[in-house]
Amino acid sequence: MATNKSSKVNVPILFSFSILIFISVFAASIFIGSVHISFWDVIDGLMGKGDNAVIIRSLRVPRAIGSVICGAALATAGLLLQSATSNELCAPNIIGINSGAGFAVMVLTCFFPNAHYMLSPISFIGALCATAIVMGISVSNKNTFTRSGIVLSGVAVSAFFSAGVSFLSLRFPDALPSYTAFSVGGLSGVYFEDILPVIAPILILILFSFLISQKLNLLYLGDESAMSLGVNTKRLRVIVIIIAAALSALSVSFAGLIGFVGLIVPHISRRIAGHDNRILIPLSALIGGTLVTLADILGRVVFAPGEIPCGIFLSALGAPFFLFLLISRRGGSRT
Amino acid sequence: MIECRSLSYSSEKKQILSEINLTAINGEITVLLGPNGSGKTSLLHCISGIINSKKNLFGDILIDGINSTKYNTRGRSKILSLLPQTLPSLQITVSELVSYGRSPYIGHFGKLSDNDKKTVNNVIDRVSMTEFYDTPVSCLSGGERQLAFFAMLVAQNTGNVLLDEPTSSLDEKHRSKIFDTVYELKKENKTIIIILHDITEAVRLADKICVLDNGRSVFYGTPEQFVSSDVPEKIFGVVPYKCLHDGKEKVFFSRKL
Repeated sequence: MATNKSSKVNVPILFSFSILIFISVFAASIFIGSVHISFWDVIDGLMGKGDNAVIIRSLRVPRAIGSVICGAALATAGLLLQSATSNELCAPNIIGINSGAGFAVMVLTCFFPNAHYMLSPISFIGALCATAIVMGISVSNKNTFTRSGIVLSGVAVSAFFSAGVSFLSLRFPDALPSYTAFSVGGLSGVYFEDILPVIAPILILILFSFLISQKLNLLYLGDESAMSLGVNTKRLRVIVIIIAAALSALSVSFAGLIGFVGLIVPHISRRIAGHDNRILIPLSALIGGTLVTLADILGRVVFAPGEIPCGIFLSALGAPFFLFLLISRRGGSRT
Repeated sequence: MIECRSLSYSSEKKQILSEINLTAINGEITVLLGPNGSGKTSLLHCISGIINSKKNLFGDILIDGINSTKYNTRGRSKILSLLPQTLPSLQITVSELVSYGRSPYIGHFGKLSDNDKKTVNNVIDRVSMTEFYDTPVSCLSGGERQLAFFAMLVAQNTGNVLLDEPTSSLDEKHRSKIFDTVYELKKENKTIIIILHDITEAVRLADKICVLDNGRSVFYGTPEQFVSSDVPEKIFGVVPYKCLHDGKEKVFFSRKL
């Protein structure tokens, strides 16, 4: 006898509800801030009228858009990595993104302390270089090009770059404040010129991830079955990790090292919608965008007029919530 | 049809397969027998393209007369399917799992046509798993899971079928369900290569038997030739005996005393 029937999620209702919450939080991010501005003044500001137009159009709108794309990118990257490695603890920082970007920023602040304009590109390059090293190690040897081999290579490379950061912080203590601001991660001071170059690539990469979502589903069956069903598993894994690295690096380039989104959002999405990547990828992007925007709003208003970077808020609230998910988890794992 | 010509495969430390020659033709069941570690699964992996190292793989594999290197992964999945030995427990339902068998024929988003849905439903009926249609695979017993993955392979509907110990954890009822379906696949003129550990079952099921030992093919022939040879005794330490079963004379094997 069948012991358990699957409860299927109603996809249209799920997405209608998620989009509604997403739009509400996005709107709230424009209407709420450390400076109180009335509803109609915000509307006027959006139209470019009134005294608050600069605050609304130059600060809050780019910040809201930035938090949405940053959250969507990190959540999608986390989901892709977890699917590709069949490891639910995998997140962008595992494949060296954070340590690579952090090391590059540390090198910049130590040796070129006045080159702040280079922070975004150098963190992007650092993140991609670290991932390239992880992938190089993984692909070069069949012993390391396994699901666990990729993760372990990432851990080793991350440890190496972290050691580099620690060494530089001892030798150049003056560089620490700039590095700390970057490593905490946040969206304060994000302007249109920071996010314009990354919006299109992030959206294209999320769309491409969606296009390969069914192939990712087949990876759940194990490499042998997936190959028998026509999936080139090695190539798919390399493509997925490159997409995840690019998404994370693009996000890191303007928002710093925002942790936990890539880990926690795929788990939340799975709890809501099951294990179908065709649903999980757009849902994770929506939830990730919503969550980072919400954390950014809280960071702005809880200690107003002071501000707490959303990275701190995400970790502080995300960690207990993640533990709650683990403790209350229904039986069974994905694979 | 599957042909292996002088197939050899070595890992960095060990010769896994040496000069294997094998021809499995349409409408026939070829059973691979051999002790643990004799290279049976490696042979199936070479044929299915899972092992495709140009450095360590020598000889030719022809699938339907065409060298297997000429197929890409998706092209191969339309002519050859594999049921692996290790099957994961999954949160997806049995119907979703079986529908994955149609993946080689459908687009990027895995949307099934009406015909594909009909095929999936027919296959689930065929292996008597209708009552598990909406049951997550993780809630099935080991044997039921094996049957569900077998159903996925049947839904893939390829001309060449590779089965790696498909009945290893099945009870008698599920075992005969799989063997009945394998017979039906044979009648549909498919080429079937199957790894078994039970020699008695192998003799009953096979049209051809290939015995591997230490990566070498030590016997290739019909079940009758296998029974009358010294291979059962030399390789497996068993001797055949015949007895009447349901009015028919059948071959069994017993450990040599």
